[in-house]
Amino acid sequence: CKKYLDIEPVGRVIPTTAEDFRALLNAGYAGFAQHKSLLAARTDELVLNEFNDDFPLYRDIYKWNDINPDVLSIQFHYIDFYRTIFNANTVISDVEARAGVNTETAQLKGEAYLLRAYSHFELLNLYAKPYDKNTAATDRGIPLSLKVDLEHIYTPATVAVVYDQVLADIAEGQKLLNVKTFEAGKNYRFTTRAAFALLARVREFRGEYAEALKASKDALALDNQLEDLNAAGAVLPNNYLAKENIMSMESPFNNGINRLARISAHLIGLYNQTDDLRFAKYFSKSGSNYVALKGASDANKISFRNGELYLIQAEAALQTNDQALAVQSLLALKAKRLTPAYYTTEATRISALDKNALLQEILVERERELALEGQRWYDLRRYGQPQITHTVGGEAFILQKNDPRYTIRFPKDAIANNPNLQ
Amino acid sequence: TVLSAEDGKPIPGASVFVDKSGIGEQSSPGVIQNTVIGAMTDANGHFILKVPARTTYLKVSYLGYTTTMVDITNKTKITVSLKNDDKVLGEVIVTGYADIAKRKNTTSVAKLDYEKVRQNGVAGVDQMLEGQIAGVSVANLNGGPGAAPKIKIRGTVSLNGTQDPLWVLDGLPLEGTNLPNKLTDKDNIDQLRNLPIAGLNPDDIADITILKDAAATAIYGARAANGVIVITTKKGKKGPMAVNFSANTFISDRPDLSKLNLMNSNQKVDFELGMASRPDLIYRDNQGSVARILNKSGELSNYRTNGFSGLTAGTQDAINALRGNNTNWANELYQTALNQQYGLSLSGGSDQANYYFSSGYYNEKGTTIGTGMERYNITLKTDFNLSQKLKAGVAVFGSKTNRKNYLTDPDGYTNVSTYSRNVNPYQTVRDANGNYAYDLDILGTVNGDVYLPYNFLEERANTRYTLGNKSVKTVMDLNYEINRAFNIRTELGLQFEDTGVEKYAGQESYNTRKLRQSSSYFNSGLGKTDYFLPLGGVITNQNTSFFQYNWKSILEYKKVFAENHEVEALAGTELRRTYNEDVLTRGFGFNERTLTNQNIVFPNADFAKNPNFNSYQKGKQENAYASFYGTLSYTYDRKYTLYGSIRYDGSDLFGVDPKYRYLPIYSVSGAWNAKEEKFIKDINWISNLRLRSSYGIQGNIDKTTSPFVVGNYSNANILPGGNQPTISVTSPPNNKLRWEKTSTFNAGLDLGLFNNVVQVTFDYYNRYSKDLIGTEALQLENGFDFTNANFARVKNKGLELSISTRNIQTNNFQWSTDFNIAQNKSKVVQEKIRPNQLTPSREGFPVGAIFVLKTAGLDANGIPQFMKDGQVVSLENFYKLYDPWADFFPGELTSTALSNEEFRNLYTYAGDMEPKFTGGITNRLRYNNFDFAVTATFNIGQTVLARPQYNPAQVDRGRNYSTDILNAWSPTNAGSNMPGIFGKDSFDGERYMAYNWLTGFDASNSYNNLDVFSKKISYMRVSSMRLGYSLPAAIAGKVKANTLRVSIEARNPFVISTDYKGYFDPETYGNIYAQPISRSISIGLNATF
Repeated sequence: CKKYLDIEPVGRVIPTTAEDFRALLNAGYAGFAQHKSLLAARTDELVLNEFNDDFPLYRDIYKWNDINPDVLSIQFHYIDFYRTIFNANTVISDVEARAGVNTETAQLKGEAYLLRAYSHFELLNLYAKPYDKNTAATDRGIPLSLKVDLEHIYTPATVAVVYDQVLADIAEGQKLLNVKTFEAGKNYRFTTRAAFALLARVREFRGEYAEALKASKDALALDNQLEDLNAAGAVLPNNYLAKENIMSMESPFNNGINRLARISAHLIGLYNQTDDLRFAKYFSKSGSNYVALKGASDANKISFRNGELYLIQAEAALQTNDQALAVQSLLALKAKRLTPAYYTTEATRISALDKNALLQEILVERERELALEGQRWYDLRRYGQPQITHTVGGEAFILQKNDPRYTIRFPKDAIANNPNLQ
Repeated sequence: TVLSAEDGKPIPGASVFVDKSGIGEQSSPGVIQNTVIGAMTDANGHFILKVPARTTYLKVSYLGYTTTMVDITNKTKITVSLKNDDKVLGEVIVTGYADIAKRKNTTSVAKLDYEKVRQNGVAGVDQMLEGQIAGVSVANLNGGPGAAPKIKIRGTVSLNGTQDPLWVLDGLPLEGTNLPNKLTDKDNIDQLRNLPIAGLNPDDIADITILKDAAATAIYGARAANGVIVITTKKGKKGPMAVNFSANTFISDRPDLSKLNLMNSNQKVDFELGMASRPDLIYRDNQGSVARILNKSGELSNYRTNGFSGLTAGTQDAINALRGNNTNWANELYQTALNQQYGLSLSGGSDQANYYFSSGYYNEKGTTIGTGMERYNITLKTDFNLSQKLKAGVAVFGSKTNRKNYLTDPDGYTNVSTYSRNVNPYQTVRDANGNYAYDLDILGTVNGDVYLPYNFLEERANTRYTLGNKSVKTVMDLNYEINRAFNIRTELGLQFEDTGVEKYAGQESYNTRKLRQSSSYFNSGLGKTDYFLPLGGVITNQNTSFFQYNWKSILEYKKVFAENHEVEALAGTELRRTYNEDVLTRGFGFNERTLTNQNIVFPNADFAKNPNFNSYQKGKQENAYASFYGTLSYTYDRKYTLYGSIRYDGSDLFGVDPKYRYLPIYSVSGAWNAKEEKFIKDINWISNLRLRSSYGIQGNIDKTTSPFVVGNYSNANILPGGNQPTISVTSPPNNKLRWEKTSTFNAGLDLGLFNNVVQVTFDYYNRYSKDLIGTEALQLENGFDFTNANFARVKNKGLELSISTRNIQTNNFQWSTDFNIAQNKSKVVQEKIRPNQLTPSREGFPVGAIFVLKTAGLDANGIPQFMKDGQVVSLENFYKLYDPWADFFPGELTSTALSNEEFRNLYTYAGDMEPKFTGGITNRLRYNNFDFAVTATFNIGQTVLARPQYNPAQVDRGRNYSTDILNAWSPTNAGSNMPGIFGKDSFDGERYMAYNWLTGFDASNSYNNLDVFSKKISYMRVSSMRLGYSLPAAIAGKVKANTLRVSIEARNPFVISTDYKGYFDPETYGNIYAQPISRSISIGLNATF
């Protein structure tokens, strides 16, 4: 009778082996939120085409109307992050008990810690104020999810507490990770290099430049290649096959936004259109407008790459008063992006800049290099929260300087299920 | 004279007739055949009957006695003695596992003869049950052709789990009969479904038994928690072949759209002009033709300063022209439909075998144009007596059902019921050139510039949605009588259901346009936006094949000891396995004429992930169940019966907590046949008196919820160069889930008076359900938005009363009445309240409790004000609204200072969604050859909540509203009680918090729960009126027919109700998606040969 009832269902599984846990973790990677594509609509990088039929989906995001968006408006991601965290939490708690302790399970568990850290970090960037060490202990952060427990009552932890957890998870993960680089196609996973890259970004966002500098150096010490746009056959630096790739998990500029996005005059204006080789690689002219070539494809997924690390290194070195290293890092990147002749003029110009001007130059270079890679909104938050204007139907909508809308409200669904978020 | 063989007393009311019949209408026992010559015995058991000269036999029958044939050759005066019989059809309760003599019954069951509930022009037997049995509620959720109604037996036990009863066909429990709980929302309302019971030709049914209490259902195990409906089909009778033919034509009436009180073109244009004059209203302010005209001519501000007369003549004409377009949408969307139904059956038998063959055809066109249902049936049943001891039976039920509809878009904008409410009355169907006129107010068209043209008629013409079901159900049984005491029986039931769904959307349809639009991408080669969806239609095929076998083996024991001790026992096993496989395929760029399709070339793998472009998907499921059960019944002295049953259900083990692998389910019950007691036996006017009582426990565990992390294998395309294996978890692990347990107590009384002229059945029950499993919303931080959890304890108490009377009994006039009424009161004893919940706990209130916010009319700005602690307060104060950004960014945010608990306490209880009383009444009259029957059902004292006609802060001028909105409050109409329409900037922006609150800051949308939207309704629906005429035998004989009957029947001719303004029918009050319940008139012919 027991045998009669023993049906191993097709297609369903209780994860027990390392392969199962790999698949479970993969689901966490694959389902990672594509919030950066929505954030792009809030930055100064784009002008949206009002006559695209998808425009109503983005209209209120574009207008920073978080208050009473139209029913059609896309909601910012929330549950997706926690679904990924759920998968990570399951791997953290079960993988070694079920599938044994070995380098493979250690790598899996390490990746899970990093994935959890990154998810919490991204939630903070969306829904909490930028880090300020004076107020972090009281600033409202986001709820932490550290184990699977349906009875747990989630309340937002402070920004400081969330960051402590993020750093602790990175540290815990770094102890376990043992793969430096995954082959192309599997490089959506966290590695020892990606862990350093994440740490560098977290420290940079916290304004802890000494730590940021160390982490970026550690990462580049493992591999410091850059894609050389002067070389024949060079791919986009954010391509998953690029020499400088560290990790390609996210679609920061997915097809949804790409379809109706035109590049803003502000962004176009930052480039030397002939001698900055990025310009032709990044953008294409469509009618009288420029559209992006960087997104809308799995091949262009990007989370971390060496190009960003060079910029973090430059920024962190400068902020820790190592201007020589700052200039050196910046120029190392530019050498691979500009025509040789233009590089020479730029090198001369940049070497002569004072500290403030150099910082500005680094920030502008971030805009140029990391355009449409989901970094801009965070950089705007970190540096100055300037005023931005978008026009819809002839009417100007203004995001004011230091506008509270630089922090996004928790989505309606999330508040409905957890009023502690109000 | 007719006497009882047992005590020699006369039997009044017995039927004496000349029998010619096979199987025909109204041939249930105890009722005289319409066309036959017959008489009824009087109080002394006497009868007088004139018979044609050649008649040699008379048949004498009476309920509870064996029907006897009497030779009357050359006799003028006869005396007949009828023998008591427990085994005649009407006296046995068929549970599907055993036939229990009615005198030994201890449980609460109800039995219906099919002929009593039969209605013409109704596709399924489920719809015929409405109002027929006390405690069984049948609710029409949708008026579509053959749409399944929601059936509930004795209220709601499960809060979120399945609420549907188990259907059993000749002993085979059918699978796949559950309906989704949220049938009435937009995701489900347009789904075509074919429930297994819909494949059965109702005319093949002999009778229906409904098992209501735990003692009756326990034998079916866990899945019977919502009651059981046992269907017994017709059998051939011994005798020459009887042929029965019936034909019906029925006309369904076009629904009456005027019930919705929508604005006409003139009113709508004035309304839009009124909206346009107010710069403070910016919600969707470019929608609607008036706004489009004013925007186009650039005269909006001119209109606001100078009024209508200030507009240029051209603009005035354009606006006035709209007033003349009064499209009759009722005629465009709905029709009067002509439908047909035919049936033919052959039956007969001998000592060795009997047979019943039938075939049927049913064709119903919906009153909604483009919908319909068609069914072919065949039924073959034979029983063989292989030897004195060995009997075998085979039954095969085959059917083919086709249903059709057009395709509505995935967002529900184009659902016919919503569209008929929302479409502007000035919207035309075709333009002056005969081309489709597109509706510019369908969302997805932007600011009046049409990107995705939508026209309802084009959609109907160019899309197709069909569901075809082929079903075969077979039941084979073998019965061997070992000796007088022991009997062994085995029964194998098979069910095959093959369902194919086809959805086709042609290139010229909103559906395809929408999909194509989502395939747009920037083609860097061409330097412009391109689409990867090939031109042409989109076709989706979904095939589901289901198979189950159910193999029961039962050993029965029956013995009478020392005359007074009757023992019956039964032990059995049941093995069951179900297989379900479904495959979905899609073709793009489909050409209907060449039947060719094109492959999609995805510009990159990212697009291939969109499930809308998925071209193949397969699902497979197998489940196994093994059960053991036994019953024991003991009767003493024909007066006292005790009965007990127990069952163990085991099922496949994957992911299930081992604790819950076997579920014991048991019951005990008893009955006292008081009529057999000496002191009552002699009371003549009491002809029957029985008392019953039962108690039983049923349990259930949700098998989809596991204490472990259970996932599905899948593949994800994360980066180019190959898929990565994934395991996606669909529900969170939950180790806190416990058994759901329901205990039921039942007490009942069966009473017959004056020789059963009046028969009364009364039942009281009390059901207590502990640890009810339901879906519970989770905080999204869990990674899941809901789980199944034990979260409530619910009590259901109820009373059921059925009365059948034979009011008048004379030779040529008879009148009888069946009446039933039931009351069910539910109470949530305990309910888990999440700290995040914003709606009040139902603890202490009914399951269907409706809670409302008490309003106190409108304030000086026409915004609702509320009652709080006996004081009238403004909306802002009621919700304690404040602006968290008041210091640096006023006007942007609005929040409530109420804690969740305080928020919950704002509500007051308004009433119960479930009616206080439900029931039905049927009157049957016969005068000579005419017969007439009226069935009415009623619901008394039900609280309902209407959808608000409009949200005062979000009035969309691009759609139509009920004329109520014309009476909205305004400074010039300050006496109105309908909230005024306002915007963020109205009243100098001072009420922005109220505005923000109504436009979405209120996470619980509590505007929908204002007390003004709730009310109590009661209604009575005459569901059927039927008049029949049986042609005199002489005329029938001319066409070689034994009987010939014509009938005319009106279905749902009218409903008497308290006010249900704004909806089609009180039954679907509050549901804007429901199709109207159709009214029809049918003409039928029935002949037996």
